[in-house]
Amino acid sequence: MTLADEQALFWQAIRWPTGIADFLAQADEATREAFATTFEGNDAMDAIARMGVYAESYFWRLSDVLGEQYRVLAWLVGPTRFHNFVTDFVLHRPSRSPDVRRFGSRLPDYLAEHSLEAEFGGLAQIAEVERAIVHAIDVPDEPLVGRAQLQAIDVTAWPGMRLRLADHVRVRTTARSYPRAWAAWKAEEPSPDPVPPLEPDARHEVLIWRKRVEVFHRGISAAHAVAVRAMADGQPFQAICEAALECDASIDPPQLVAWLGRWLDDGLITALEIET
Amino acid sequence: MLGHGVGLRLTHYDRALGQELDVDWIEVVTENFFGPHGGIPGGRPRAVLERVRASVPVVLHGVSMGVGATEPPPDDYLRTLRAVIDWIEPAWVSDHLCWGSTGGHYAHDLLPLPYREDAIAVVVEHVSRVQDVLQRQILLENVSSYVGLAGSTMPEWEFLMEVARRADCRVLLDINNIVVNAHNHGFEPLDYLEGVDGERVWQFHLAGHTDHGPYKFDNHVGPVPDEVWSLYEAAVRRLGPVSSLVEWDQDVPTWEVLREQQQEAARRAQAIVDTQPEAQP
Repeated sequence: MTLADEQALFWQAIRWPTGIADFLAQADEATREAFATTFEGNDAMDAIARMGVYAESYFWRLSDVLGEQYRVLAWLVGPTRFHNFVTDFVLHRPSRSPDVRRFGSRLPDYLAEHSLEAEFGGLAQIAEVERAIVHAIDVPDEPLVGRAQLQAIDVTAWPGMRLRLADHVRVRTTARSYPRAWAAWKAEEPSPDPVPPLEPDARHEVLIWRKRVEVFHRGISAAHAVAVRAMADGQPFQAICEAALECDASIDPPQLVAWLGRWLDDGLITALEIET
Repeated sequence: MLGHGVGLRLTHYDRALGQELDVDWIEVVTENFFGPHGGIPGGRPRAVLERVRASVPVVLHGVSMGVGATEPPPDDYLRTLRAVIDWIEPAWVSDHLCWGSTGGHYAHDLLPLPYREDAIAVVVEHVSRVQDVLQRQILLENVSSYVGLAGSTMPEWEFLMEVARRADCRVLLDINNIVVNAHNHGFEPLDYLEGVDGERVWQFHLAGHTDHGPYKFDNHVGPVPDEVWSLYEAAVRRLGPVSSLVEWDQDVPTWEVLREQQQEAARRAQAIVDTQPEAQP
């Protein structure tokens, strides 16, 4: 056995989802022989039990990270379903990053194709919100603009003004209310069991952003979400307003100006660009 | 010598932001300060590390370099590490004498190496490359292990020192890991210390572990146990005063409790230094 062969065997063994003994039971004779000649135990603890320490550590370390990053998802589906889902994810999507905090970045996409999503619906969208929250924690800082910079721009130039969004800002659409689930999790309410059914035609919009060192989220209206998305697409302010009005004709100019003020106050905007 | 420090964990980030870390120095997990796209991070991690660095020396302690993997540490990993080093200007940089990835997949664990010539050759090649890229010596830490690897031809301490000598790197001697491995593999902790070249040892780690009977598990939980304190004192007697750091990763206590452990390390080291005037730092 070369060092590379030993490490491949070690990796194969500790990743086996049902434990080292079962790994060996399912393995061919050559693999069992290689295991026996590579890993050593003693009278106190045989090699299978010793490798089991690594297998347990491997799973639980990654599971703990996912539980921290997808707290509301874990709460919503309950501990047993989350554990079973995480077991599948750890098995099928091993980490590709040296930074364990990035391990869960593929979870929403995996969940979207998983039987858990097929059974209950709306869960991958909740995971998308939590991925956006994790993303916002440490994306590089950018200089922000505030009300003073806006006030320095002549009002007649506002329609053509483009507002550049900070990289930490995301808008997500969900069929389940993330803020409501988050509040219940935060209040340490017990996980709902069974997972609540989807409300017919429900559609919620969530804005995620970072202000200084804290990450926030809040529910916003559909028109507000349209405006933020238009901003993300690089549309000028007039087009942003028109998109919002198309979504909700009751939106009035003071409302649009109030959004603009809050985007600036919350640190969503990194630049105000005027076409010359 | 930096004195006595603690490993900074998330629990104490608010205190770090307030620059209220009243210890000699701070060690952070390097990868926790990697930006999401490589390079340095923004937001809270950036603010925390900059505040800490403004008040005390900082050491970068990595967990994913994997110098013992048969594949070399990836270029993008080293580029990001270099960016973090240039940003924070740490007192030094350390990682572990282990492997943790294969085929581009990471275990996020410190996996053991056989104590053999072929493993030494792999590690030395990788450490040499890392030191070339980083333009500095790194420290390698001895890891806890739970299984023996067949074909080992030397004791762990000989393996560690041979790697350090050939790669010309320094050693971060984890006292707790010696205690854990002595129990798990049946050797005398003092034999380990006797086999260590003091010239190479740049730092000590102190931590707690859990005794499961047949094996001890290195989980950095609880206060430093008496057995680890005793070996620490023996290490200070034999190797002299060395920068020391308390790690506490599970059920992280209040800052005051953590700092008391740091102070205890300082008191114990000073008591030994006081009886060995020639060993003054």
